[in-house]
Amino acid sequence: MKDFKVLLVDDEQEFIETLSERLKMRDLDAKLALDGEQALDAVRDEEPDVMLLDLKMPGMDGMEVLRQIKKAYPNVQVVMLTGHGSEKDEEQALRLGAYAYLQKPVDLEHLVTTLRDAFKNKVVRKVDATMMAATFAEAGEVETARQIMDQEEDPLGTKKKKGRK
Amino acid sequence: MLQRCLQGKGNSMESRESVLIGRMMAGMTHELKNVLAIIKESSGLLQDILSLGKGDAAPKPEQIEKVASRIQTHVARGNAQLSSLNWLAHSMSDGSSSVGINELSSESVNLMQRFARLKQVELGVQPTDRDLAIHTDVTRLFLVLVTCIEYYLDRESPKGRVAVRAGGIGEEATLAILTGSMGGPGTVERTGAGGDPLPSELASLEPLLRPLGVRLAFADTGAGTALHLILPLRRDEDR
Repeated sequence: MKDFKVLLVDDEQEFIETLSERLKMRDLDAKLALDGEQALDAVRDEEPDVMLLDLKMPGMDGMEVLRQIKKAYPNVQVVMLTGHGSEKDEEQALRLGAYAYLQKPVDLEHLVTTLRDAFKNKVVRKVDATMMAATFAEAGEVETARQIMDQEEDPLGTKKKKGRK
Repeated sequence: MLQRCLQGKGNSMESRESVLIGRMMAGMTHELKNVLAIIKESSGLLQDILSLGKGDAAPKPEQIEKVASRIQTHVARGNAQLSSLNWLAHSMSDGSSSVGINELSSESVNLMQRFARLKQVELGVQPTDRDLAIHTDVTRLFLVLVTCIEYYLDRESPKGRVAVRAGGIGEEATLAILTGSMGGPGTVERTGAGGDPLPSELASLEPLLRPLGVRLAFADTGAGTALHLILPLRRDEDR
């Protein structure tokens, strides 16, 4: 499993600093964000593969971050990790596209497995798109193949809107 | 949020109070989970450092010290939160009893810290030199006080400050809630036995105030309006 990019989002700074040290020892480098706005800025700077996201934070809460991330960066896999134990929140998070919803305190090995599974989920989805595009290309439908790959790389057509050819 | 708990129509005041207590408990248990998460990760990191350290380098003492110190800090944090929860639990089981206004204000502020943090407002307490005792239904008075604190937290901008200042005038104790921009709590003008009219957000407190003998009064501080809870002191015959 190749290395993948992780973003940890939580207002408890010592928690994510400690977690990031432990993940680093397991060959998982992680960037940190202390609130929703920082998280969105970090994703704009460099899109992570997987985001670990707290629910209750000052300012923009995790559910709103999730909503915005899945809208603008649907390929980012989001794992919720929260001390807030509401089933209603779990249902809503999963409905909004979260990959998993975990409770604090969490067993680290279970967390690492979940992060890796989330990344695998992203890879599988990308492979599916690539295979589909290859199938259309082999059938001579090159334009359709190109559209599939464009959609996979830029789901909202952001690059097209910026005039990129 | 706490104000809305008391506004539920069709439910008894007791059930609405239960909802409010429940919401506070949920907030506190969330905080305790955060504390436990930090302690768990820190102790796990110690184990990692000792067993997974790269190469043959021995763990650095300062690294161990830093993590151990973090654990101690958060054990203390968790203990403080549990102490406040314990205080609240005892107040609920004891019914009417005597409480000092410094104790009441500091425990209430402790229990509201999470809400203040989520609103990015600094919440503090200013005790009085004379710790005045009042004899009351402590739980209901606590509910009145935290609802008033939340009223100010909601109105303060992020990075602002709200303080609860304990004091006393004559035969009455006061708890004033004010923001950082106010130099002092202001002076309460003479109020009627029922106190000042309450804004709609605090109207749900009306049924609680008279049985408690509490009046709410607003005082102009020159830089905004502070809210005073005016409480009768514990009388000698109550001792």
